[in-house]
Amino acid sequence: MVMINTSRGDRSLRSFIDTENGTLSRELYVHPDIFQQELEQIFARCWLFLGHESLVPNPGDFMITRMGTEEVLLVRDRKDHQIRAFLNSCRHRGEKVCRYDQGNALVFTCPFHAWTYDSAGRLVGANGINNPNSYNGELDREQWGLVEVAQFKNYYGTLWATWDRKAPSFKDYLGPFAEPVRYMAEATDGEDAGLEVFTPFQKWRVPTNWKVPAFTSSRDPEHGAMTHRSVNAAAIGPMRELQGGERHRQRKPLPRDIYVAGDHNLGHGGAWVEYKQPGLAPYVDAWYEPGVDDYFRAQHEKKQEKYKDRIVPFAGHDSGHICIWPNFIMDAWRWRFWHPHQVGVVERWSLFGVDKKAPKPVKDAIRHYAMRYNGPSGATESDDMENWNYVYPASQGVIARQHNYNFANGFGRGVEREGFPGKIVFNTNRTEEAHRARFSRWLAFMEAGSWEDLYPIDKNANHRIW
Amino acid sequence: MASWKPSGKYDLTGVHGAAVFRDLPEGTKLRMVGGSIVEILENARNGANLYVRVVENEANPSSVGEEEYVFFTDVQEAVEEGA
Repeated sequence: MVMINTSRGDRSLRSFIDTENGTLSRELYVHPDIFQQELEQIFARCWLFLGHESLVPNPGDFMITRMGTEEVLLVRDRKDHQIRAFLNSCRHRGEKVCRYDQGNALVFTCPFHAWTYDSAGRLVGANGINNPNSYNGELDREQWGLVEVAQFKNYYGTLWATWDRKAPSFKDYLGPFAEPVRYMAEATDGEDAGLEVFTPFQKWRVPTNWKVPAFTSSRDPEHGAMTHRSVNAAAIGPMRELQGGERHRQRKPLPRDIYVAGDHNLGHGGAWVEYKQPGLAPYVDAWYEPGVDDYFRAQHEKKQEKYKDRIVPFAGHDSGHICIWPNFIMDAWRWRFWHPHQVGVVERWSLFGVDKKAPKPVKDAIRHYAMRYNGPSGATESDDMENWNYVYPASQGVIARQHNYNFANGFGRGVEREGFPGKIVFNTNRTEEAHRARFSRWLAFMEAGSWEDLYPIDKNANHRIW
Repeated sequence: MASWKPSGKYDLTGVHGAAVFRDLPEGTKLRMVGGSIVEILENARNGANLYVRVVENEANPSSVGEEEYVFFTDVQEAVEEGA
């Protein structure tokens, strides 16, 4: 039972969640001690999304990404061409060894005392390393390499890592969500790992707690009507002013059932779309720019062939987005992740996927749509950001903290179905079941002493709290 | 064993030494502080680091052919083959 010190009696974290009524305390979003524990209990243990392999395509290419509040150097080795991830902090005095966001380097040299690391993270030099009046050749290079993540996974081009050696394998961590992630990393013709991402990608900081967007923007169908009412009038969609300015791509999917599903054991969840038959629906023209539909139609026909006898995975194209616990939200064309900085500051990164082999006019059309739709210069997420920004200050006050948030949409109506592992709860498609699943997993992580106490290492665990 | 003389082209001393070091082309030979001769395989172009191959080393002949990273303070001077 993890306790939080307060001025009038300590409280357990569990007591902040009212599992009888579907509400939870705002303290979870504004209390700095809770935030610090999240860094230790969640971000130091979970598999976290780092980026995409196309961001470091060549030997020596690097980029700075983040795991929790810490910078991580993602680099493709010059010799074996493998991608690795290291803490961006010199082993000598802790200075950043890389102070550029992205580039190509022979070595990473600390500007303080010139401790120098190669692209595999090995210590290969330092000022005075062989000087008889200094280190005299006695510095053990093998021992003092950069701190490397405990586990790393390139999953169909998407890059993930964890600091915890005891964490389960990445596929076990994803559970039934592994197939949708793979599916969403496919090119539009169905080629595995067939995407690249646009660079530079979007980054911006939002003055709010990381859980505000990361836990509740997937899937949150009831926010759209009000928050995004103005967007269609701006005609930001692929068809621009045609089709009534609809902001989404046109499509006509096969018969399907849509649920909000939350995996209370794994923490993942969002839109869960069950198709009723194999294959893909016919292509529907969706693009204003000439020639773009011709490309996608041809690609789609190849993908139809691939899936003609298979029911496609439950999330991704034509369905809406899913969250991979704790801070990654994915759909067919946007990969978005949330890096906490402080209890009230989060940094959002958005990657947009596009077929590697697409011709430039197609890439341009996708890129322009992404810019119109997403990010600080787009329209849709500017709407979202306004909400995220004001949630935090309006929840900080003494009075505000006395009143719980309501997470009760669909409360008590979710069902577990036979044949699904863990604790996946299916609910109707406009509920907050996926949000509640995130908090089941959140509490499990915050209370767990190690991965031994957590699903799926503990296969009998039941983390569902509501 | 070749004889090596200081390079007339690349002067690594003085206020311009760092910039000259930064732009040393691959293939340039250097005399290290310990006396060995190395050839630049790759220059990090940061004014500080090089990747080199040992060409001559009287003190440790078995190191010839080895490749290593070096820091600019380990380099004594640029050299070229003498007459």
